[in-house]
Amino acid sequence: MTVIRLKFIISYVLFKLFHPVQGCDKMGSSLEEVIGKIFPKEQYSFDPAILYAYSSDVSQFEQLPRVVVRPTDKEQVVKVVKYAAGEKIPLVARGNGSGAAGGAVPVKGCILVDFTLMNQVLEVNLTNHMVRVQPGIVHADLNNYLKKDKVLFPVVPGSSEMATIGGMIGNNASGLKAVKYGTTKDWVVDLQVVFPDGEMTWLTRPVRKSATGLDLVRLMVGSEGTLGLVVEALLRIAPIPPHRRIMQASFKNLEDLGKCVSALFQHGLIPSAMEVLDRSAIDAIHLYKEAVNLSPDAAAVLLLEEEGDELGYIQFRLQKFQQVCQENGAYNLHISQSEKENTQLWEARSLVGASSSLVKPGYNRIYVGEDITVPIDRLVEMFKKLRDLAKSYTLPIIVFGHIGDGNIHPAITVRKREPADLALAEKLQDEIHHAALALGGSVSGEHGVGLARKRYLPEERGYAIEIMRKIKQAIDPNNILNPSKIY
Amino acid sequence: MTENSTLSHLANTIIDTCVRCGKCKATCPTCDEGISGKPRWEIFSGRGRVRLAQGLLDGKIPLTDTIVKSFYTCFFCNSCVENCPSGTKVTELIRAVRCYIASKGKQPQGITSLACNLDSCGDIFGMGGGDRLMWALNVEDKVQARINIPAKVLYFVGCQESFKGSLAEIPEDLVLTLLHLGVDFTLLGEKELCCGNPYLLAGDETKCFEQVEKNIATISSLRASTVIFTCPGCLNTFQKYEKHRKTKLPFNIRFALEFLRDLLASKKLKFPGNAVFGTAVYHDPCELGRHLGIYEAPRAILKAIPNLTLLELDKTRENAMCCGGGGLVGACDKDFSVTQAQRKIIEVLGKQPALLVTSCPACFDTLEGAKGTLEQAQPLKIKDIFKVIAEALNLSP
Repeated sequence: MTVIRLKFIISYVLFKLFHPVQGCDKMGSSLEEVIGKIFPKEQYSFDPAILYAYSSDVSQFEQLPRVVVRPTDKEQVVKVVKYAAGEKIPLVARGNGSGAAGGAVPVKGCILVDFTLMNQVLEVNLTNHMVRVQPGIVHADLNNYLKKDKVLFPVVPGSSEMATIGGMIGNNASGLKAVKYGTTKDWVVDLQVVFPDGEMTWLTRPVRKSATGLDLVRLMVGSEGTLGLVVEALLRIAPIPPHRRIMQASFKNLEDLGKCVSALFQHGLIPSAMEVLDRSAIDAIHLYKEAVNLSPDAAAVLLLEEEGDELGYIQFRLQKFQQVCQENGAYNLHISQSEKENTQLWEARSLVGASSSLVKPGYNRIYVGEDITVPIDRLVEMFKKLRDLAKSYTLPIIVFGHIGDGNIHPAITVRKREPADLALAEKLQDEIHHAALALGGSVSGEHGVGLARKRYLPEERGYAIEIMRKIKQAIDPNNILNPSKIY
Repeated sequence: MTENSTLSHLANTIIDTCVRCGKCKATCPTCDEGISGKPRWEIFSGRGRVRLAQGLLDGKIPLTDTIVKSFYTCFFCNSCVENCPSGTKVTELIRAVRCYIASKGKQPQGITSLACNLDSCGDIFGMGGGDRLMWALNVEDKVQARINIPAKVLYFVGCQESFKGSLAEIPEDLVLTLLHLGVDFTLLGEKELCCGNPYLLAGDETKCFEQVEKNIATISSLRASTVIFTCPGCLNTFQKYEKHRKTKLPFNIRFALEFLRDLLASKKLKFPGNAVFGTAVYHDPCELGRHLGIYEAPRAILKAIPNLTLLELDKTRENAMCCGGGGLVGACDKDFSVTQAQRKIIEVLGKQPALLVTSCPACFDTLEGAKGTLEQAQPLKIKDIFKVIAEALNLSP
């Protein structure tokens, strides 16, 4: 009897091994049939070409989903989550696929939920200073929509034209203005979420503050679609400052620039944006847009933006910045003269990550080790480390970033079809991440963990990662939402 | 796929440059569905097409109808290339993939028909040289004396204007203008062949350049020092030949508007001011703008015309939205082309102009066709810029 039972168990295990979830629900319907009942045919695809196009993001990871679905309303999301929960089929949420860490890369056998058709602004409330949106709206589209009311969602990622609000929430994204406005988590009031059991709920109340229990909104922001799927978001908005100016300061090396930033903070001088570009980053910008007004010879440039209601006050503040910069090795200081110059400068800066590929012919950017953050008072050490690494490795590293947050984006470029280069880049990213951690920093300032930085998390978070795993286990016991990411 | 040497070569030079940032998605006209503006599937973006090319090259996906549709719905508007921060030459890659698709016998029927016509008759309509002067019916007496004579300037008419009745007024208006200005010009007449641009869009650079060389030989025999074009596609093809073959043509090539702009600057071209046009929006054709970099000549001329107030669209010059008329998309998927043209017209209507002016026969044809599908667009007049010039000179009936 025991032998028969053993045989049965072995054959059952073998069957399951060689017949992984085929998508037949308890009623015997196939995945294709169920998806076809939830979504109209133009909203889902099993086509190999379409699946392949959705198999990657900006990172180096790729995996085919089993199906891509494109919900147009939250009821469809609830239905697909309930189905996936019943069948224990993994679900991965995706916005525009501009993530750099593999957070939205499908996991094997998953249903990929593309939210880009849920891209509407649902309500703008200028009294409460809030906007209610669907998660698939692109950041730049949202701010274009809000412009007529002279307000904006002030967290501005470099990928503003690509990143969806859902993706920004998932990764706690930030960008050029974080030094003044903080990150996405600081601007999310409430979220409507579909949890892994198919239950849909708002997490708090539509008020500016609430002291009732755990802050589930903040728990959800940065969870990369592992705890629930956001189907609506209530965001704070801010007035658009009518004036801004950008000051550009040149330095002989990055270390001097790092010292200058520390000095500015010590003087309490915090601008609305503070960016660093090393020589190669400036070259990348000029190769992309020749006309951008950046120093032709500086080893590094610091960009300081000041914005506000009064131009006179902005100029007064910039004079103070100027003084501290000059005392700390800056030269060739230049203040932008027009909004056209401001726009051109920020547009070029926001795309320097991708234009890093232009610096050395044949060497193209890959997104590894690209998002470290260190305390402001350790920036100089981090720059020294990056300089040493660039010398010992033969791969070009282009350095830029949101220095006002200590957030540096070292862009590694490789010959993509040279295995030796890829292996070297892998080692280099390890060194960069460990160096940031040794300085008390973090392996990601705004791009998230996904698959790319998962292995560094125990070192960065210690026991806290165990707490995260327990939370994940409690909310998603069957591990269907974006499994294998972060934890 | 790896046996395809052209595509394999492009892998290193083009596909690898793409960092998949998605910047092209923000401007690619095929990413969003017509007026609804709903985002289409990823495969209808520059990034999606690069990804599919990579999949084909690496043998990870088979060549299917979906892939064919993805590559034959690109308008070649070049906004992906213009905006790509990492310098990915997306349209060059798309051309190579189209060539690969053709080599597998999978190109859409509409394209096969065009190619057959070109092979057999030397033009995309399959009409043959005998009908090359169909456009000149109203100005036959003025044109006949200009055929194949030695002259300083040669006007290369192009297939669309030659054979498509709805576009016949473009060469007619330019010829009247040239005559009015006393320009010493000639025409190839029946000896003119298709410039080869459709071959290029289908991915066959070799055949395209063979066609260019045939035209060069004929033009050279007339010893013209300047060849002018009213079709940006034809000009672009000659220019590409010069660039890719690293050879200097035995004559200058110019868009006819640039030629007229120079005459305007030297005060040989003057507009009397009898005609009234009102407010006008100028649509930058992709092939003239992003491909050839010609933005100012049409504006200089339109601004010089009395009783015409030029309005600028929000997306203009290198950021201009495509009309949906390029890339031979209309020959493969008419709806795809029409929905984009509707989107363009809606954008134009936002400025409430009396007139929409363009300077490309394909744009004019596409926009005029789509106008008929939009009730709200009926009061809008659409004109080619050479018609506006002729009217401003009181030459056009």
